[in-house]
Amino acid sequence: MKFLIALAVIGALAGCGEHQEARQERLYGANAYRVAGDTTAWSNEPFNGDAGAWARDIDERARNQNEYRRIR
Amino acid sequence: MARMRFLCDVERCIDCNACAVACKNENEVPWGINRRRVVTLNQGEAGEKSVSVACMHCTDAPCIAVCPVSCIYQTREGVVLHNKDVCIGCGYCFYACPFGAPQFPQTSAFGVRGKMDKCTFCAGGPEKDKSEAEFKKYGRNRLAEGKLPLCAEMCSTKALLAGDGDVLADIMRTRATARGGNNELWGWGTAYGKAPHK
Repeated sequence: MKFLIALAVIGALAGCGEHQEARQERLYGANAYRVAGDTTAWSNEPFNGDAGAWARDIDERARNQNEYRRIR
Repeated sequence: MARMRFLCDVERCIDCNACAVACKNENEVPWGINRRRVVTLNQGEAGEKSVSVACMHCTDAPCIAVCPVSCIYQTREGVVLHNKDVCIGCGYCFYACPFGAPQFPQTSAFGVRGKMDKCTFCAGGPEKDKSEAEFKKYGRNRLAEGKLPLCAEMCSTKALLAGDGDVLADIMRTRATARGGNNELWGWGTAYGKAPHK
């Protein structure tokens, strides 16, 4: 019984020992979206995993906000 | 990799609130929640300025730092999103955010708070992209459709811009160069070039 209680306490306190770097990586890192259970914006249709095509589409749309570019 | 940013050109914003309306409509934001709003400084005085404010998707987001259940995270494109299944509605993120972006729906009487809600840069959340569950919890996922947030795309004067930070900087540089300075520091001339009657 004592062993089980000790095990439970250790388990409960384990989360308190997370290093700041590990937390940073989990929440801000390149894989943060995956840890959270999310997917990349280009993983589904119509891009089907083509990150380059997605980036080109977004870049083109962003540049078209510049009316100086569209008018001239 | 693009770093997604919002940029509001205060010289162009005319306080029309189309961005706020577009956001509410596109994401079917519940009553009492405003993911985006327009703030006007020195209202009624000559030279008043309006700025459209929402989550700024900070690089070092204070909301992420203070969340006790770590439900807020940053995507590879720099968009700050959160998991409503994990959120406990404590309100720490609201106190930490300098823009007042996190909002809490009042789900019952006596000020009981619901799950946090905020601008998602129209990027949905941790659910299957473009699914019904994602839409109900987080709103439309326009980024997954290759589109930018509707608030910026709807802006009639193009005061509110969205997209990669480098692209937005290029646009603002072009504008600043076209504007010149001196007596055109604010007003029509600043926003659109020479005034039509000059």
